[in-house]
Amino acid sequence: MRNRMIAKKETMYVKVIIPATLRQFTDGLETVKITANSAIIFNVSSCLDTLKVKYPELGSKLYDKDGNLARFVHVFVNGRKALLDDVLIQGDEVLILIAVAGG
Amino acid sequence: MLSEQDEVKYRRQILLSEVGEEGQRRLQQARVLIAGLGGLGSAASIYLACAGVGNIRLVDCDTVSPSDLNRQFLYSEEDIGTVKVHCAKRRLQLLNSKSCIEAANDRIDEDNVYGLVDGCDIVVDCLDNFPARLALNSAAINGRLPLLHGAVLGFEGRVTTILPGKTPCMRCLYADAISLDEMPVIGTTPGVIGCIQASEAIKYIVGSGDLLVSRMLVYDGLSSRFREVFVERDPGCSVCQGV
Repeated sequence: MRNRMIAKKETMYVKVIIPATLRQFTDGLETVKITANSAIIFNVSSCLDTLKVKYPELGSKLYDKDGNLARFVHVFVNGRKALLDDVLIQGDEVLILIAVAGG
Repeated sequence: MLSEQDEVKYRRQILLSEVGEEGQRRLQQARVLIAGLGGLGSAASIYLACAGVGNIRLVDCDTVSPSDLNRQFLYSEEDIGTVKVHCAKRRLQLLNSKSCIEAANDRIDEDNVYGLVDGCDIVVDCLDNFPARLALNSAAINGRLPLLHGAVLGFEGRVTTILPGKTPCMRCLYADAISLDEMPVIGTTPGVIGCIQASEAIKYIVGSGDLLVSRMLVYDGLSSRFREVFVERDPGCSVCQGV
């Protein structure tokens, strides 16, 4: 019981908002909860990597063929522009925004 | 001084303390460029004409096609094959017979954009491709003109107000945009975003309310949610640095 409680404390999660256009690749889910071991530094890059493993088709849309984040993909954490090495903490909201140009 | 006819026609908005007779006069004197008369432009142009904007310059290079009609409500089935700006001008003139409406059947590029924005007070970006949007951005920044940016795809849209020298410009915001041969979109999406663009233009002209400066409104039509993100200038921007 005690060990389980300790394990629970070491897990953190962030909420990833999936763009409407790409929600077809997350079974229609608008938000995806990504959990991580809070003892390890968890950043935007690792969050997206986890997302990519969970939803490979989504990953193929977010990354280019060289494995870099596509130029039209932007990430915001709690409403502010984020870089890939920005550290995430418990409860952060990660918004994936794709640049669109339709009129 | 407003005419009696205008006092009656625009009474409902004149009643607003944020508009009033002074605001209505400003709308009548305003010169607005609407670049793109598709989904966004349909909504934006109609509400700006309805609000009494006195001078509207329309720019588009397309003719009306059947697949436009799910969202471009400036046009009808009878207009298929006609030049959009001419058709748009006719429709808008019916809503506002006093507005001076120019129609430029042109494709915006780096060569003509400076001439197209010349003489305007405000630019509404309702275009449908990234290169033209960047060209328009450069002209607006160069001319120190507010640029009301809106863009859509599917059920999602974005809108922000760009004030040269104060907010990020398009180049600050985007390195590139997703490009598709055929853009999927439901009509309500550009309807929502185009209306917000028109609202921003009206607020700017009459001098009321808070503009979407350094903020981008992200519309999610699938969940019926709006989210807001803060956007910042790129200090090394090749377009607006030094402005």
